[in-house]
Amino acid sequence: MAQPVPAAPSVSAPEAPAAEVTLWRRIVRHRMLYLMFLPVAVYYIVFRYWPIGLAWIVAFKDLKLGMGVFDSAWVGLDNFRVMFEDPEIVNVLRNTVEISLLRIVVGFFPPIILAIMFHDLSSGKLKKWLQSAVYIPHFFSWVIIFGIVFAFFSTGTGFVNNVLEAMGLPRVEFFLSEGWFRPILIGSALWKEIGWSTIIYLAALSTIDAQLYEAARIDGAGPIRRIFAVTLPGILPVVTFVLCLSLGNILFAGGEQILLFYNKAVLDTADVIETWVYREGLSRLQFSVGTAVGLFQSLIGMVVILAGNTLAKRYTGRGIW
Amino acid sequence: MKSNSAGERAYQIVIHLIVLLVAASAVFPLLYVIGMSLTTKSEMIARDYFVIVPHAPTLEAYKRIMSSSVIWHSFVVSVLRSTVGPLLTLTLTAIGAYVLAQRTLPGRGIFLFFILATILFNGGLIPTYLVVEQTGLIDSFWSMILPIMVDSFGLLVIKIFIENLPDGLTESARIDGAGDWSMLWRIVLPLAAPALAAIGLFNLVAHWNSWFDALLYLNDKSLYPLQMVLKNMLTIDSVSGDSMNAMLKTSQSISTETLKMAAVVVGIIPVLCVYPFLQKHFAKGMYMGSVKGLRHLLLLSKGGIPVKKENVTPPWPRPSPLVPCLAPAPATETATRPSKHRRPAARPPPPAQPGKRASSRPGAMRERRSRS
Repeated sequence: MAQPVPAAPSVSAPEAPAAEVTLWRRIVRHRMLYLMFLPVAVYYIVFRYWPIGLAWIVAFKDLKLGMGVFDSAWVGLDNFRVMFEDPEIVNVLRNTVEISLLRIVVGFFPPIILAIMFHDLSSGKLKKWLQSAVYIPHFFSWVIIFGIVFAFFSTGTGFVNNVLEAMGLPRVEFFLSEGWFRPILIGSALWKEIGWSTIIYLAALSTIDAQLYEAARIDGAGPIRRIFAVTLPGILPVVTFVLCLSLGNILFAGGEQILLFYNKAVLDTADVIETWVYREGLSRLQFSVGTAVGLFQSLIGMVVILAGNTLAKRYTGRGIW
Repeated sequence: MKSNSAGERAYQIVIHLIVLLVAASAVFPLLYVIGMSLTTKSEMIARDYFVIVPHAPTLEAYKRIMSSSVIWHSFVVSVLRSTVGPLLTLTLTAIGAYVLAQRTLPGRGIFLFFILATILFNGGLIPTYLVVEQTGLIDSFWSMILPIMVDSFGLLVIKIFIENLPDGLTESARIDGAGDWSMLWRIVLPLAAPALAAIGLFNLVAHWNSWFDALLYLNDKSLYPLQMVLKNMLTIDSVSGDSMNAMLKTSQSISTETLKMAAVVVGIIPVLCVYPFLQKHFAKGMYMGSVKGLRHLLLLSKGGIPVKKENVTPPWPRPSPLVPCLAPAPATETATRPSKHRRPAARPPPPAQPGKRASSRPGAMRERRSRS
């Protein structure tokens, strides 16, 4: 912008050998683009790659408050050793895997079934309204979701407890019960996301050739048979893809939600990596162990996704894509 | 044939019922919360807190909330972050996507790789916190904006969108001597506006709903966004129920529950206002865009960075029926100006996947046979 240099490739650079000059000349010709890109690049360097770099440093150091990252001492793999030896953290790791596996087991199939139902629904207008309704909870924050769950499950005034009492059953302290914590956590997450999760399947379903359904119908296949013969094979790649991504989140158990839902009474079953890192790592200043746990979490996630892709490719022949 | 159609009808009835049930269960909690928020304390006690439709609705709880300076203040903070945030995000996303969509740009593949890699790998909570601390953003409004300024998925969706714009448009603008800035402003942005609007709306909702960053980076309560204040009002381990108590102190006519539910409704209303606009964009492939993004990333991570190959063929099939807004315009239309010689009927039939077409053919033939 500053210097009005002609943007077109000028004919004034015949000095150097052609092959060598081309890349440099291409870079020079695109200098305005690089300038435009600068803010984005700075963002990624400062807020994405600087944390990644710090993670790899701090995880192998003993960072103390008031001491800079570079002044603190290297401790090798000590932080990782702590992570696998401290019974509290081991419990946290186990909880994390259990909760996210539960989330997958409970939450994976309902959206698929719902999407197939939406797809097969014969009434177009009604379908649109119903879809709008089931998508709504996705756009509420976890704080709001907690408020709604509280309205239904709180001991003194919750709707569910009111119903229980009306049926002559005792009230249940849902939020303080170790047995009820996970069902409520996972149930409310399912309620929030079931509608929205159908979107990816609906997009895949809309690409299935209508002639296939026609052919199946003429061959005498009923609605259920059509699901297994046409619909499911049609969305299998997307199903594998979503499964792979959710397995990649195996060490991410939804900390933001748990942070709102949990309390001291259910800490043993509720504490996961994210909540632990926030509570112990950040608030109680165990920076280095917290960073090591976070690094481990991120690495496992990446490895699982890449491995899932490779496996899917090997066994289904087409990969998850 | 008769029994078959009876089966079809039974199936339709069953799925209608189930889907209706799911939709009702999505909406009922909202109605219940709204009902609670309108109930007086005396009615609550008289009906033992089992109120679905209040007999004597009152707006007392909302009046209390509206009179709270804490809530108002946090509401303003939330509105601010939900406007400033998306505006910055859109600016950077549009510029970044435009640059990355230039196929001739040296280093484009490397940039893309580093941007997409952040989808799979991030530094984690504590390193990010340390960076926010080192950049001096702790206890600053900007700590809620800057760290999440660019979303890699969104950037990728817009980049794909721009790449799929008809080449003719950009080429003719180039010939007319348009520089990159004017190209971006006059040609690309107007065309990409719907996609950008979608990104902006989703970003707006994300900002509105966000509270965790405030919890991490802000000690100064005057900067708390609404969701953070709501969180403090609602959670059991509430550290600061002070604003709540202050609100209740002056009023005996409503209960704590009513006040909480009114707060929930206040947090929901803005989302519901944006929702109809959001809805327009659901089907437009936001989601599939991200699927493509990951596919692209894995391709990059596997076979090195196909910078040069990309110039010839993008790594995914180009005409994508999945993503209406990302699908390129038919090449036949863009290559030449629409002339009168080129009738729509003369256009070649759209290429379909050969496998599917072939497998469906026997059925189609059988149909013809059965009719005759």
